[in-house]
Amino acid sequence: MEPLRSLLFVPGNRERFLEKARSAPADALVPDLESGVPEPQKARARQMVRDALPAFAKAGKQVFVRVNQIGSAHLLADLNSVLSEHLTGVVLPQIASPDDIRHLDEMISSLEGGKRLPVGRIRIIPFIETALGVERAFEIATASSRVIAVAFGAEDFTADMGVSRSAEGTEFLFARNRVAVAARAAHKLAIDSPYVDISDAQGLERDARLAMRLGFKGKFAIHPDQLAVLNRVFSPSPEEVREAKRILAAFERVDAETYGTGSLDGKMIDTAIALRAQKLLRDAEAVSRKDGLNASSKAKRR
Amino acid sequence: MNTFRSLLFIPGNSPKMLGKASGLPADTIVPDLEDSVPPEEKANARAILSEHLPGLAAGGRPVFVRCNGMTTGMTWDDLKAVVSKHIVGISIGKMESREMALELSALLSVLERERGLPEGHTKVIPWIETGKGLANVREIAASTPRMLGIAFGAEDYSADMGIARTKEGAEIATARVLTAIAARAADITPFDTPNVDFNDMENLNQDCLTAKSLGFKGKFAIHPKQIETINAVFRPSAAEVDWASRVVRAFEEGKRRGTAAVAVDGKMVDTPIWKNAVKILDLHQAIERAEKVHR
Repeated sequence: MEPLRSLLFVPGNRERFLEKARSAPADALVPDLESGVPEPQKARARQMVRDALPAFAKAGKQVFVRVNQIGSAHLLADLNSVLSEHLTGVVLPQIASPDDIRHLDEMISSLEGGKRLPVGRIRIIPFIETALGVERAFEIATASSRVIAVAFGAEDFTADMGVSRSAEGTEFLFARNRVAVAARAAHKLAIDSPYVDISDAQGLERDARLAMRLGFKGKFAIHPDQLAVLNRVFSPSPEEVREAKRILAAFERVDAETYGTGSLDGKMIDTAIALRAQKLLRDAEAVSRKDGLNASSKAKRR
Repeated sequence: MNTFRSLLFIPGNSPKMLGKASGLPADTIVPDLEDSVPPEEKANARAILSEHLPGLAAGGRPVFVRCNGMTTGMTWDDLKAVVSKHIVGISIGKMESREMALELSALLSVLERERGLPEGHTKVIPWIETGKGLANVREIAASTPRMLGIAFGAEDYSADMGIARTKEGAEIATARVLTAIAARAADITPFDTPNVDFNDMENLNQDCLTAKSLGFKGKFAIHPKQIETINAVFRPSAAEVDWASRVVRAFEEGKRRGTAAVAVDGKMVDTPIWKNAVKILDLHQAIERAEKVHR
């Protein structure tokens, strides 16, 4: 699976931002048609985002357009406008029910059919950002094979609970944790809420590390300056890679005919630990391929 | 709109305390037939309480009677003694499943029909205070439109789990937040466990702040001196009211101009944030009104 460490929101109604986003070192770009776009500009933004998609795809980016929410009069027009071979998927705000996902799945399928696109290729990332959504996180994550990741939205979740937002975020720790576990249980990626204080790089790093420890595999960004931190935090570190290689080497020396487990530095190694090391190395490889691509696309534009 | 910041328990067999309850500043009065009444006193308590209900109702605050749980064999007698136009609802111990909640609702319907009350008149606040109740909290919260809120009971919960209670409450943290989220998901109100150490006001204050940060909107009190602290913590602060009025103003202004995207303090205001602001203002106004009446 392609890494989704950093997903950059780009306002869909700002031509310059859309153009600059091509060279941003984000794993995915998320042109926004929803809350960042004022009502009178929705139609124009749709057009601009559609026009920007081929260049995004050419730059090797995954592209998830954030469309307007289910029940909004804009949704069908949004989908109709952006669905194309250049689009990876869509981000859906405020999903509280698996029925919403099934409904969306059907809408997309019929549009894919109409546009002669292969049916089932367009992905969905639902935002879980209400109490009811948190309760149903696993059902939402498993409602369609189009869902590849589940995102947690802290701002709307705290508003829905009627609680105020603190710097440490203890008031939504449980909900965040629960979304990560539900995503993993459904074999989907968990993507974390954006960090809204653009000027606080340390706060961003702390917040991203906590999310990473809870099992999130990436995080939304609202400014290109946040991307480097996210890509670093959500990549395996060089120490982790070294350790994983040592574990696999030690595990290979285990005489599998006789023993199921071995040891390294006085700690047991079994199949589960070896598998985790393998997975980490695979992730590290995918990530370094991606970083190579990001670097070269940036260089090309200079 | 009733307010439910502080819900004060009054032993159901004490005519003296029942008589004084209306003069206290609690938002809600909770005459108790359960834990504060010994088994041999239950019948007596029912008789005393049913006599006092008209007077309590006349005090103008909502009355919720706490009844004995559905497996005690005492629920029906409790309900017969109290279901009337004088109470807003009942609260009931050890709720454990959707089926149990529906069974209770059916009993209430029988009494409401007999007594000429509209069906559904009697609201319910079930107590989640066992492992089983917690495992089923989402279904319980959504079981019937009678549900007005859910109460989390820490003492019985930790006893049921066989774990020790600490002052910091790490052992109840997950149960508490699960209850708050399940209540919110069902669009009803979560109420926090009483704090049994009624001499430690600093601890009570901290406990209320934690509960509030998780989404609880009120807390039970076991002693009148706890009321003031609870009311203060669960009252929207001046800063919250100020922020909420600016959000509502900006949102309405945006609607007039035909744009959904408005910002307050540099942050986007979308529908959930606007709804939360409206709720804060409604609660603020309801508290002001109630306090004017009772002053």
